Amino acid sequence: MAEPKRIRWEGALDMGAVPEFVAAVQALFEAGVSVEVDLSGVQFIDSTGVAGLLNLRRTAAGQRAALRFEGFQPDVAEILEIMGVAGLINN
Amino acid sequence: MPTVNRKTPALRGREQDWAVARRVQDMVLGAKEVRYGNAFLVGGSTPFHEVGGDYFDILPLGEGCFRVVVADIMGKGIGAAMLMMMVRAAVRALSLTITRPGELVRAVNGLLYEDLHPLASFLTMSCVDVDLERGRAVCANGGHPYPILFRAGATQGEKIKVRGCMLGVLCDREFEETIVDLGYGDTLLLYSDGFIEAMTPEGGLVGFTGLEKIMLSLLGQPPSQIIPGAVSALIASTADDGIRDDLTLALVGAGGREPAPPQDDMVVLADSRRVADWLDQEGQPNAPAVFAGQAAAVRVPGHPGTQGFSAEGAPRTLTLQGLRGVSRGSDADTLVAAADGRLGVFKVGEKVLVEVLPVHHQGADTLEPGSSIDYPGDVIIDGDLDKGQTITAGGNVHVLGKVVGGRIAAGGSVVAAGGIIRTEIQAGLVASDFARVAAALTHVAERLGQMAETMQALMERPAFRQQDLQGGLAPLLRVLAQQKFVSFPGLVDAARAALSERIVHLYPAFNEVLPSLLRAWQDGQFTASTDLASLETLRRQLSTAAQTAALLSTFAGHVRIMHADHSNITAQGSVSVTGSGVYRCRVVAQGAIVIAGKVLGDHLQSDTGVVAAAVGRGGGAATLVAIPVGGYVDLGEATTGTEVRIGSRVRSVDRPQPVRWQVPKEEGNRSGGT
Repeated sequence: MAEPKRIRWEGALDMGAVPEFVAAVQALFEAGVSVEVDLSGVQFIDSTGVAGLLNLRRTAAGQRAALRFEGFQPDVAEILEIMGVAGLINN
Repeated sequence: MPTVNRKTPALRGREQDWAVARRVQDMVLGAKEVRYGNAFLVGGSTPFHEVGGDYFDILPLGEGCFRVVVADIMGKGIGAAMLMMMVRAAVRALSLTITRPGELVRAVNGLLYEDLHPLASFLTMSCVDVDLERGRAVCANGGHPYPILFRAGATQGEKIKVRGCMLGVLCDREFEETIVDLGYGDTLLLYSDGFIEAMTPEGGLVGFTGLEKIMLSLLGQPPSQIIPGAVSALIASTADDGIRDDLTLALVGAGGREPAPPQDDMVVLADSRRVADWLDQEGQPNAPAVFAGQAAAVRVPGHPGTQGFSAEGAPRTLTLQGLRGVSRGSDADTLVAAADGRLGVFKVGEKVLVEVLPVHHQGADTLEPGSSIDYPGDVIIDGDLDKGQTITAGGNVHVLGKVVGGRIAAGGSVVAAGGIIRTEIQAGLVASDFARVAAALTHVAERLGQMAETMQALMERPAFRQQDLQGGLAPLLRVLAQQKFVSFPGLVDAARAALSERIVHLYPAFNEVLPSLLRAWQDGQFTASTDLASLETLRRQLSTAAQTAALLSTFAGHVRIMHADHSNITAQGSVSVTGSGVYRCRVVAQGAIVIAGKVLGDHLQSDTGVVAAAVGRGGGAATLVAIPVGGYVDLGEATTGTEVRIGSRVRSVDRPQPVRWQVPKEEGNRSGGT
């Protein structure tokens, strides 16, 4: 099994940053390879950011790539909780 | 509503289209206000861009019910605006038949999923059905920020934490519902995250707390001003570029009826007893001391524990009739003593009077020679009471000096920091009243009991059936005379004479039952069933009163002085002389007499015991010490001629010696001395 690919994101996951974030993570997808996304540097996420995470989850499933998000900061985790998607981001 | 931020992309050719889209949105997102009786619902949305992705709605459901919806469509611009229109249409159409908010959110999700999913677009939605008639709201949530409930008069809001997934993520989801009560003056707030994600000048987020603070300052404003006020307040508290999203608010101000003011059920705090208990068990309350600012009584509205119970067990509520010397505290449910003093709770008919008798504090130099003070509470005299003044107090008396030629009569204790000369002191007067009352009541109660027993026995004899009794009282009277009862009216008069006014009216039976019994007696209409029952009730009530009075007769009436000279002291409690002693005084006390110094030429009489360091002659007279059987005498040194009496036994001291003497009660009885 190949080494997992890691990527760390710094800064807000908001409307301005999400397209770049999604593109960067998607670029790592490869069948049979795990991708680990370190979000410990993300202090703020808005609805487009949440949408971005969900879409990455879907795309990864479609490409049969294993995807894992880690290091959720408390504010971010709370927003995911309120939106009811916490369990879906890392299924 | 004006846009907040005019950062629009410079799309020349499309500006016309944008303007059209904007006008459509203005129609559907413009400020709304609905009134229902004294309740209101308001909502408004301010897009961040030219067109926005937020949606709100207020839909009447009939019979005082309204559906309030706030939704946030992901993304910005024309795409979001178009989806918003779809959501609006879906909500409105589905609301024609769907009666529960959880079902509505589920149906919207089901309906729009196929459109949202391919666009990877999501939306959050909060839906609340309010029933303004019944005063409640049912809340459902699809991933939206929690609604906030502001209770009437609250200083902070409560999040209504109803959970649910945002819409467009998964096809078939259930959405839970939470029910909250909406009372008079409560406000429910729905909002979009544009409010809480706005940035402050310091770089933080306005957040839930910031929104809460803004709303608390606006509650109570006219409804139409609340939302514009909130938007202005948000702009004022954010950085120049701080607002980054649409701003949507919807509020429900519950109306309803102002609750009726609660009954004044009281709990007396000063000694943690209920007022009802206090009045039922005690004729005159053993008034506890309270201090200015201390809570004297606390009202617990409608609390079952604070209701009083009559003798028959039916609950009754005590209503506050008046206040004296107390004021309402910072919350209307607390009565606060206005001054240091004694707390009293009195029943006047079916109402209750709560009063604090403040301590009467007076400088001795302001008391005219020969003048007097008569006060029902406690008295403090600052200085020497040496001009023949008289102090009569219901409570305690404290003289911060000496007393010369004065007269002090206190219901409680008397303390003089100095000595007393040619002074008369009476302490524990109230108590002595009660002792007398207790004796009288016990006597009456016993007599009534015997009377009732006799009548009961007579009822059971064949010769005295009910009609015989009604027909002629003569046989009964004969029997009663044989039993040496006083006449019934005579009994009643004796009881009345013995009882103080205050106690009499606390026992309804006394005033209600007695007149009818008297009438029955006079008319010869004494019947077994009702009148015996009345007699029994009366007997029970008077027994209780007797016990109460007996308890209160032990109320402390102590005397404490430095020394005494040519004075008279009468005390219900004990007498204690802490200084040089007593000279040519008469001291009579129910409690012990304890003299640290010398007793010279005095008459000391106690029901308990006498202790003195040294006893001798004064002014030619010997000292007499008298106590009953069961008491004790302890004289450190008694001179020749000192006379000591225990009951009827006398010992005359024939040479200087200590005297320690005690006669136990049984021995005293056996030898016939009392």
